Amino acid sequence: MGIPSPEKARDLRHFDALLDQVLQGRIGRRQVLARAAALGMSAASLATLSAAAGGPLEAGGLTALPARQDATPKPGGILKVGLQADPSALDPHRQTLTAIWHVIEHVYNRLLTINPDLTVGPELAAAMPEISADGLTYTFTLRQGVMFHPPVSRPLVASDVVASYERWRAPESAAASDLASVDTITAPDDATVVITLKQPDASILPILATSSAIIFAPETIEANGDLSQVAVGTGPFRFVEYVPNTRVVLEKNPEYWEEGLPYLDGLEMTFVSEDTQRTNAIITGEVDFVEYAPLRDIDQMEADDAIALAGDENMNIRFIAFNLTKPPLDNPLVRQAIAAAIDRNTIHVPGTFGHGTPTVGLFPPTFWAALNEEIPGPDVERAKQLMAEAGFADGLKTSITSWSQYSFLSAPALVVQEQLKQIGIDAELNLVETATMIEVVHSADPALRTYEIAVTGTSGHIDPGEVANNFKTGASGNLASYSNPRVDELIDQGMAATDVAERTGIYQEIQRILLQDLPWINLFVANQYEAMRSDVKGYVHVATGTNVALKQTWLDR
Amino acid sequence: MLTFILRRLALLVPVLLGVSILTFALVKQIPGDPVSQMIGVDQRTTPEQVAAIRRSYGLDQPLPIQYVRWLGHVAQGDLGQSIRSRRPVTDELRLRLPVTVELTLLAALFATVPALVVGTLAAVRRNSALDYGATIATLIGISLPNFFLATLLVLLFSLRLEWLPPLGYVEFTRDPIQNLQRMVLPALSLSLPLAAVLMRNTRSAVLEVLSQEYVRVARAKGLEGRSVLWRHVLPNAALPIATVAGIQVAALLGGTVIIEQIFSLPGIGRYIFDAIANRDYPVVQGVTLVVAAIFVLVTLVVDILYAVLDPRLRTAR
Repeated sequence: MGIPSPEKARDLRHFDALLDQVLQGRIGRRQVLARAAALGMSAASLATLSAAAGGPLEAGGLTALPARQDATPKPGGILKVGLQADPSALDPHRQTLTAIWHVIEHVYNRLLTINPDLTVGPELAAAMPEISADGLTYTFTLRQGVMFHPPVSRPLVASDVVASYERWRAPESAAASDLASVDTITAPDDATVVITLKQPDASILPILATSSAIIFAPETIEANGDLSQVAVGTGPFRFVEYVPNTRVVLEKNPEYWEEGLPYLDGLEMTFVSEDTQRTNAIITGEVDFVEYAPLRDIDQMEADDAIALAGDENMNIRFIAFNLTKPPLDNPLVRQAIAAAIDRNTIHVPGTFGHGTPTVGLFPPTFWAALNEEIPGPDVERAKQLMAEAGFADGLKTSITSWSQYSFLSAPALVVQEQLKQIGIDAELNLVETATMIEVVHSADPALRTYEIAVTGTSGHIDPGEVANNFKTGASGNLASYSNPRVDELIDQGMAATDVAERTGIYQEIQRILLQDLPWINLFVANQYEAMRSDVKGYVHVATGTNVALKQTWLDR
Repeated sequence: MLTFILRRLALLVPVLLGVSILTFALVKQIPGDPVSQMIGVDQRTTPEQVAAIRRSYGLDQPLPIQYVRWLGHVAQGDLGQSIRSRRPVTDELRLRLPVTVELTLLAALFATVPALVVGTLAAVRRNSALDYGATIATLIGISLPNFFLATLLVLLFSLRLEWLPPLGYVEFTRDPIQNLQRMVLPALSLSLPLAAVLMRNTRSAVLEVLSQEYVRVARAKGLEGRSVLWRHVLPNAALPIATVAGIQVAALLGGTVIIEQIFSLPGIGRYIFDAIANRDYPVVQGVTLVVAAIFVLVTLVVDILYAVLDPRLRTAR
């Protein structure tokens, strides 16, 4: 073998570094390819990396990789975790907060789970349910030998599932609407749960894998009144204590039903809401693992050998919404003009620092239901022409409302405001805090929605039906007050269909209609990363943002 | 003296009533409510379901009734329960008040000691290099926002020198050393502006006394500089300094919000900040009431301190 040229040597060095990350399951296929391309690596290297990272790019679907264990996992050790937000309480039926989920997901199990490839798999169910031919009856068989943590300390039975789900859909539950399509939940015997639906609902399986779908024992409610300050489940870690704004301590569940898991002796979680401080905490080693690694610091962390990153595109779409009840935004020509004027490639940058992907459809480009249209460049001349056609040749005044708390939305909103000035739209920017934002933009009651244009986003979901439902006439999440009978029909069809190819067709058609009608202008999806010290092994990123993989994480020290 | 204290304590009642009515009216005035936040965005919950949940928290009742009900509970020593966490506000205060008090006292300690020493020296050696240096330091201290100072301190002591952890909280009872390690940087960030103000006040108070005739008399009868300072100047300068220090420290109790946020400390500043953001009405009400009461009590203590410091005031009352 000859001495490689300097270029070749550089290429090889990058190749090795990237391959290491791929093999450890730390970065997804898309990141590998983007980064390799950016580094100017050869086509042959790209192909090898792509294959190592989970197959050719055409395969479709977001893929996170199973962690390849080069070394045998070492049991033991406490992992110090930096969470982004204090949960304030632990009851997922009282409030639907991600902060709650990121604590209790380690303590409870659900019947089903979301796999790293975003398919739904069994967890406390022994297998995927049997579904009746009419799509209305789901029969689950429970896994045997699952024990509740102390003080309940008894095996899981089907009536626990019934009690858990009944509490989830009780009128005072904040998450009751998740189970709106469910008719009855019964337990014919200790190992069987039967759920019947009022109408077919393809999103029910992923819903049974969400944070509200936790299975607990009714004794816990009897003893404590609710689940606000306790957590007794069947999961890999047991709840020890929660000190508000200070820490959550979880310890290993030695009776956990997944053989050999968890590896860690426990998790000690602290709350670090400031982005800068989350970066500081991982850089100084004050914590071993942080969620929501700040996007502006990703490049710095990547360059740091002591830190490893796991991440990929997440499922939350960021978009411009129009309140169609407010003239002149009810005029399709005005919306088309705005769509023509904006430049998606620049809007996302101050929000994602380059760690995001512009999109015209409702989903990340690699998601199975995505509509992969080319990102159109801005066409200011055409936009001005459309404004003139709409009767606003001299421009118009309006307002943009966005989140003051989230710079990944407020910064893009500022860019949108600037870009609209080019076509004579003078938009006042109102950055409001969360409670106000939820009322004036996201209220379920159309009368309370007073915004004109909003720059906002969706929260995590797995099934495209959940996002599509935001366009159904009269739906609570329909913040644009949009109505199109054809879209309503397609949304129902999408929920009734179970075949992936058929559903893909339906959701792509919905997205095409929305691109014509423009109740929203979709802007981008951001990446989401977890950062960890490099001796933290075995962690796998999942695009829903869950950290459940901590059960298979271990410390190499 | 006793009647004075009793009269001041009796005044607490109307003050707190006024504060609570004002807080209640203000917080209900902001758009948004706790329930829609608990449900979150992009849910399929109907307005009817939202109304049902709101009813279950008693938030559908007319405002005056909600207020009177709350007041009734307070009169019995019950500050109510957080809508968000379901924990009693008193429990939460027991946990969080010590954090803020510790932070405030440490900041006061870090501020007063150097401020008194340097302020006095600057007055005694007026127009010296030390005086000018102190003036410049004061200017910086007053102009530098504490959150910026906090960032600089973290950069230096945590990231560069790696002497102190950048954030987090450990209870004093759990590990005193770790507790103090984590309190130093936040307390320092709070103390610099405080030190600047106090130093300035000390300097002018001492200067004022130095120009009095009895000081000249003391010097004229041959007392040496040091005993003039200790016997005649400082006791008389103490009064205005104590006033400023008292008010500044009391204000600090309610002014730690940003620093607690930056350093992830579970104090009352952060508690009320989160509560306002979440529209957690009972928490906002309860904490405001307690902080207002503490403020009034601290000013009362300062007033009593006057009497201790100045015998003339004791007889005057």
